[in-house]
Amino acid sequence: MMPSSTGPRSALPRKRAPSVLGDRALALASAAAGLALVLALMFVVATLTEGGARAILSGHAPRLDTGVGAERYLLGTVVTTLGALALAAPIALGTALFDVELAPPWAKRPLSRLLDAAAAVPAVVYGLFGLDVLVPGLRWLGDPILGPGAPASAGVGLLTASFLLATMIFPTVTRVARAVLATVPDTLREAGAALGATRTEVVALVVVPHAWRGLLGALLLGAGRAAGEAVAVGLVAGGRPNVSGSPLGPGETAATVVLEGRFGAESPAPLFALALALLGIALATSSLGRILVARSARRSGAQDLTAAEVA
Amino acid sequence: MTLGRRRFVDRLGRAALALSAVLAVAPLAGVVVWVVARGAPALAAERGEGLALLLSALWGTFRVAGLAAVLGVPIGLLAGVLVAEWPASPLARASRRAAALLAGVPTLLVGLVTFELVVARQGHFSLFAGAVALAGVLAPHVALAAEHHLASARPELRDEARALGATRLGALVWVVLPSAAPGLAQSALLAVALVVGETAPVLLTVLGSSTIGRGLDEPAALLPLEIVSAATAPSAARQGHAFACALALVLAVGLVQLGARVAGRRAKEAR
Repeated sequence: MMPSSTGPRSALPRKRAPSVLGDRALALASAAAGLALVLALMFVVATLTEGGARAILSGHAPRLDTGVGAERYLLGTVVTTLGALALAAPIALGTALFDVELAPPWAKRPLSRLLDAAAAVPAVVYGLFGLDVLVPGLRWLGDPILGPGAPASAGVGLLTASFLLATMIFPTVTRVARAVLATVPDTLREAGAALGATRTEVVALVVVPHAWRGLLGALLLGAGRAAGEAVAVGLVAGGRPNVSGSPLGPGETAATVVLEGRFGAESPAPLFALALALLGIALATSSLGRILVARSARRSGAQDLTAAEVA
Repeated sequence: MTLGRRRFVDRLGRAALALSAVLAVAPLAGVVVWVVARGAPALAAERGEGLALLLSALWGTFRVAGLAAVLGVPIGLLAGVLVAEWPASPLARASRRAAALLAGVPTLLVGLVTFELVVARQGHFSLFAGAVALAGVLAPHVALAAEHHLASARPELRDEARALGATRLGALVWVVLPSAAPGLAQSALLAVALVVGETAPVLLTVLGSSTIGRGLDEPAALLPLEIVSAATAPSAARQGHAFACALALVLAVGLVQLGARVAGRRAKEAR
């Protein structure tokens, strides 16, 4: 009996060639990296769910140790996020439309540099800006109107936080909206103009109807960021639960409570319930935003905006 | 509608859009100018202990961002390779979904989870824990961008190389990477710039320190943490310290972004 190495298969190398080993290593390493991302997501969800479930089972889920219902904090998140959207949406979308549809060529570069620069400023610096400029400014504006005893008289509060968040999400919304508008085919604009439409009519009747999903997506991506912002809001929102429910008054959001409560005497379980709710809000808004932006881009035949522009 | 009326509406519409652009520029330029105007004198006035603290915080920020990049960028790049090379595999699809979702998770919550994972288990805050949190923030962004760059870098070339007998790794290294590398470098640097100024995750993991920590396994001073602790201080000197740190932080982020822009210019040439 001959050894098998000299059999019919002996022409094939017995050891795997190094090139195949290389492919194996590549496959293993990239699978490990992909698995790491999947596990990271599962770990985030599991940790918060477990903590939140513990809180609910132990019966004090809705209340933090301060005795204030968690819904107050979630209300703070909703109020500041909606406030920031209301303030930022018209201006951000208007700016994106101006940039893509109307702006003279010389204005485009400085505008986009400014958006880049503003997007590069970290949240904590925005918070410092809010503390140094917005708070005194709103106090100066608000005192004569509301009277010194009004809830907003100190200049800190959910309204101030909304202004600050609006400034912070502004570059994000404008850049994504601009990318969405850039995917609207020029042939549509030309067709509108050939039918005798004015510029404004082209924008209102052709461009916006074509791109509104993507524009909505840009706003939702901004909302997701605003809801999760903790440090900047914490610096200007006043740092106590908003019992009055007034949007002008000092308040806290779910994010600021989670950030601060970790160091306080609070038992952590209710914080996890709050963090879980925050995760739900942020994931729902930003995923929907991402889907809308991607779909709007695909509809226009553009490849992929989300990776290049949003990330 | 008469022509005159339509013309009027057109003017009105144009004016509204132009006005919104002006309204947009004012606060954004205001923030940028404010950082420099407040920060430059404060930075020049920093002496002694304040200056030492600022420098150690800058060093800490440099170390934590660097370590986060070392931990997070390879994971992001390889996850991008997974999606670009094996797009149909279930793991690639799951990884892509996970990256898109993780990119939308508030960084605060990444910090909270890292606290549970690292800080609570080790029993102490550390620079390393902060780097883990920041790696978790930046990896999904790198993965999404890497997938985009790898998939769009002339796919027909890769197929040709494979058809000529190149291995997967060979095609990736010799055919895909040369044209995708600048874009990958740009995205990696942008992701690092994103986390240099992150505050909530490091507040929950590094905590901050007034002494110059050497080790990775102990709390350290970081610029964002210095800003938070100094911003609410009652004394004017401490507030000046906050402004100085804010300018230093913005300059640090700007420097990384400048690197990304240089890489991006290469990316355009490579295409």
